[in-house]
Amino acid sequence: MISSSHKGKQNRPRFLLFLFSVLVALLAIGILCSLKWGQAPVSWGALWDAVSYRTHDKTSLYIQTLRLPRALLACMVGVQLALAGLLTQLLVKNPLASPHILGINAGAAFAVVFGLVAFADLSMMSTVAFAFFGAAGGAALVLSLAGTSRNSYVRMALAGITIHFLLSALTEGLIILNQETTDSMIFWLVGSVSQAAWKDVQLLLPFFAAGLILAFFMLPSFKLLQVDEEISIGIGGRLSVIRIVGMLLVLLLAGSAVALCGPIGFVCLIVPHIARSLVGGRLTVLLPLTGLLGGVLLVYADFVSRFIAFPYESPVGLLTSAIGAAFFIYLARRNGGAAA
Amino acid sequence: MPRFMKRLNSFTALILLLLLVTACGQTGSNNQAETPAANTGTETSKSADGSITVEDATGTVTLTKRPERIITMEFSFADALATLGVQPVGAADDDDPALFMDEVKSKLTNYTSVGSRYEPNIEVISSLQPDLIIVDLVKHKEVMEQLKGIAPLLVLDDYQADYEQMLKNYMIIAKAVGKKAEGQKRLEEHEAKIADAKSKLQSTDLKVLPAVVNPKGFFAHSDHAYTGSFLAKLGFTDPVKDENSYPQLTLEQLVETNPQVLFLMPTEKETIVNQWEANSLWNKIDAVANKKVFTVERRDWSLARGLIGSEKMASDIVNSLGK
Repeated sequence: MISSSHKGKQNRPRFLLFLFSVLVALLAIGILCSLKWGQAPVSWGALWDAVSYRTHDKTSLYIQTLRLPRALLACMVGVQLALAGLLTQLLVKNPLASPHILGINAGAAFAVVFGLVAFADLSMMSTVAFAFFGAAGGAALVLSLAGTSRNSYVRMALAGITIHFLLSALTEGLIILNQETTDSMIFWLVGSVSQAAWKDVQLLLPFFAAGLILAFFMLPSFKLLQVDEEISIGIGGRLSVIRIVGMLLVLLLAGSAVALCGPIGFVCLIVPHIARSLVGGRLTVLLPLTGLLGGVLLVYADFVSRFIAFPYESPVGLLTSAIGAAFFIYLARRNGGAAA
Repeated sequence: MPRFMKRLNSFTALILLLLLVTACGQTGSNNQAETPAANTGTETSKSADGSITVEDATGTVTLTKRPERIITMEFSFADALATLGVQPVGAADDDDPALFMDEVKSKLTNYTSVGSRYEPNIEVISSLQPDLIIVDLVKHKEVMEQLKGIAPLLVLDDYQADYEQMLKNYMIIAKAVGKKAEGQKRLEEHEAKIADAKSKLQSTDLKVLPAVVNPKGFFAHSDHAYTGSFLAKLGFTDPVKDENSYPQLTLEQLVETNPQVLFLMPTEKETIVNQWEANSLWNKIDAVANKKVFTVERRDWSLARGLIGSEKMASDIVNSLGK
């Protein structure tokens, strides 16, 4: 998996320190850009007044109530999706996997559209709840088809794709049959953070925190997922437990992000690969780097997405999908050549 | 054995899902009795041999006789027929007659729904044996060939039409159903009503923004949209100038646009506006500060797009902004 000699060099503490500080700086710059540039022009002075909460005029309110929560939400969602992607790739031992093969995206989309059709007046909060439980339902469906027994990786991938397409087909069907009520869902189905408010940040924060803490504590166990199954059982790892916890963690991270912002494509897939190419497969380094990179990527993607059709918003999922699709083809071709 | 049970369980779950979905699809459909309705109007046809020739969006349409079994594929076409006293045998209503304005619906007593405006049911259309189908140039491009095999088509540019275009379309429909004189008369009535509404408005020097709001977004109707062009006709200014008829705005853009009057067309009870109201930026909009935010029916303002719909819009505007 790792071409050891030069990756070993890259794992030197000084290099890692440099890498992480560059990324943190990039993240800070990205958030600053998100605060500075938007539909309304804001001067640096006004920006400073706004972030120090000294003024509460129109311009300050743009930054305090719209742009700041939006940037934070983009960052959190990026972190969550990237980590969920990395975990999924470990869990199903497939470098091209992302949480949608656990039925999460399709389950959430189906539940939201179903909720809109079945209940005329669905509040914002219940939409989010619907999406999350839909994600859980999708994951449960995939698990019940694939099982957690040994060597079920292939079955998992097949079951996942089957459920994904089944639920997507049902969602499409509902949309076609109920054109009027589901018109609004089209925007959700591409994924966007453009309407973020502090309420959304508050809502996501517990998932974000719980996900990070759980990931941190499970880190040693997740390392077992990287080695061959026989070996890890030989060491005494309880693989099925680890896999179930991993699955729950993916659901916690990706499910909550998708519920709030819709499926933002390809972040889950590409970020772990970029991280791996930077520092190799050592999970203690790879996991935090993946998270950080995910945050950086989505903050910038969200920033750029504002200017695709300026002054109108484009969903950030459109941008990540466009980058991601090209990246996916590159990965598939490269991995097809070498033994993965 | 447990493995078999596990499988059985997941299959049951899948089947349940499928059942739920089919059940949902059926709640929307209504059972309209299939009673063909004839023209109720009595009048003389213009042409000597009884044939009718009109120019539509794609060319010349010649009908051998006055059509009596008409199918409308858009709400505005049904609106036009309703004003002419003609009963369509079929209409695309997205399987929900409640989407028609009450006034239009009360005039369409016996029609068969041909399903969604986007995915009409070709079989039902064919079984109604129409002698004229009125379709939209854009929305029904895909099915036009199929429909041509069933009956002559009257193709109109409705989806992208502004107010003036709608008036032209109205006269084309009136001619096609052999009621040119009635159409002309009704149009004059309409223009009088609009002029009357205009005279009741004190000042029209206002930035008025109509918008559809749903739980996920605020979709402004720009000056290129039907509503925007109608407001311009009354003398108002639509502050969103864009080629795109229904651009989505963020709160920041809305505050920057700063309309003096807002007409909101909610699709659901709870929409994004409920969220935005919690933000103090909402109160910085002139329309909000001056209490000029009005809620109107989306089916009247956005779906109907005909004479009756426009008259309802005019009266809504007079009620909200008149002296």
